[in-house]
Amino acid sequence: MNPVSIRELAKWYGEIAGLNKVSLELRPGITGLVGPNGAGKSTLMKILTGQLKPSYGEALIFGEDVWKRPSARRRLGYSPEGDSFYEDMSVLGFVRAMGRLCGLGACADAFAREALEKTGALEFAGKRLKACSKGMRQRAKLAQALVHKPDILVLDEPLNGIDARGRREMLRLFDGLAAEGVTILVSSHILEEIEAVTDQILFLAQGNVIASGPLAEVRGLLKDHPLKLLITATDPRKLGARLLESGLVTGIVFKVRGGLDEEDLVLSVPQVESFYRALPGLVSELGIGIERLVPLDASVEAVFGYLVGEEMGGGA
Amino acid sequence: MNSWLYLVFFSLRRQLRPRRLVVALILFLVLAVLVGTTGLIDPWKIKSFGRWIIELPFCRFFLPIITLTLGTAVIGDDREDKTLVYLSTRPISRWSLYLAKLLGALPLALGISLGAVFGLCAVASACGGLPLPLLEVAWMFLPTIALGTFAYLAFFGWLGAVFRNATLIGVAHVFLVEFFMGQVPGVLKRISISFYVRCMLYDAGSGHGIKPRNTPIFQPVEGDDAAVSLLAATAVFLALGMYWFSRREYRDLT
Repeated sequence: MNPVSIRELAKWYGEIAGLNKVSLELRPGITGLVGPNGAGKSTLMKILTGQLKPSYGEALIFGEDVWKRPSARRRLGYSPEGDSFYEDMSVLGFVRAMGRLCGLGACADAFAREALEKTGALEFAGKRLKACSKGMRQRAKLAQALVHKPDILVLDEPLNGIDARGRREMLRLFDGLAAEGVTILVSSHILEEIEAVTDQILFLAQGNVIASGPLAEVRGLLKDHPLKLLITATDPRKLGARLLESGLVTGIVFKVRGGLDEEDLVLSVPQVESFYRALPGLVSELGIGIERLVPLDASVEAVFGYLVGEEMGGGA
Repeated sequence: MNSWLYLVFFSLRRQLRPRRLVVALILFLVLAVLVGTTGLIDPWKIKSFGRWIIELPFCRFFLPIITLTLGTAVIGDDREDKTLVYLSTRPISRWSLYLAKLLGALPLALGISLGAVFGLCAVASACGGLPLPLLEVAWMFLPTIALGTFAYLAFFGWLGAVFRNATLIGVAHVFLVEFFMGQVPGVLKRISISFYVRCMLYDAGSGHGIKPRNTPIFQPVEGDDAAVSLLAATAVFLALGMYWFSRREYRDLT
């Protein structure tokens, strides 16, 4: 049984569809949730955490309907996007209280300290929340989601307000939790952050899942948008001519780099796998050295741009 | 159950906000000074004390205002602070969440209202002297105040769950329905909680001459009937609040 099953989930706000019959399964590991404002990310997260009632369909946590069976939320941790707190509580008091509300009894204090240590918040555990910086509050919010050691974590913009070093620590924490078998659904408007931590992406637009799965697979499905590869080679002109001749690329742009006699190749590659299979043989046949090979539009942001473009009916 | 009990305790602790307690303390001190100075000039009798202190300012102003402050805050505080999200994502059903929060406010509401009545009786005994022992006087009023506190708290709790501006609506209700409608002849006043509180008070103090100024116009009900009505109102508003809250989504509550 998958930790999270969403079946034909729809949510209507009057005549506006927040979610439109979305079905998906989440497995242990990290899944990034990507979409523009109004795509339905928050609606999906709020239904999944039992805050909103679906208009149609169901959201199941280990087979239990999260709206109808509150006990299902025992296995769920949620870090909301908003910056609201019980301001007069200390960080430790807040996390401990949230743990006790999840059913932790006498062990709530120990669990709270453990969660604070994981999120790097133990050093300011005694500080009142109203006196904490944005970054500290963000860590406290994450700690309250982790305190009862849930099997599923739903994190809405968890890295907002955290500095670069802190973000790296958080991403390491998510990675560690995923390795322990926790199912994590994370949304962030900073797409590189999502990319740094997972290649399992769920793309949402206008209430629909427009693509999901490993990023490379999703990118590979975008046949109208050949992959753009930047190659730095010892003889770019010779390589470019050979590649065009072989039919492995559909377009080449020469890009001046540094001095006037230095050029990079930007290739349009329609079939990536065939290209990667053929390239080594071709390069050795021509006696050319490859110094650098970088995909230019395989990032989450680029794929998302193409997907949204297609969804809007225009193509990018 | 463990987490639900903790939520009751958590809610009680959240209610102990100094500003709220200061309001109650100021109102009590105003009444206490009034009772003390008046008693020193002209010693209190049970009838005058019951009528001019317990019935008029206490039951028709102090009690509704205190329970309004606490009752609307049951959900209102979390709604205002946007902290309901932390409660509604816990493994606690909505209706029991509402019940726990209301029960969390109850000890404080009872403590303030019963404590204030006891305090006023003590001040009246000390300044001017009531003709009965303090405990006997206090016991005459305490059951009425306790049932009134239940009913008002359940009503204002429900109001706080339904309306965003529950405090304003509550204040309007206190002045229009509980205070002014109480003066209107006929049966219309029976929709107010204060009517039944006063009926219980008249019944409890009947031996000491505490009664409506004009019985045919006031048309009181029996004390037992008034008590049952207050308990019924408590149960109905509590059930309404739990039902309403269990049907609401988080977006409706923020």
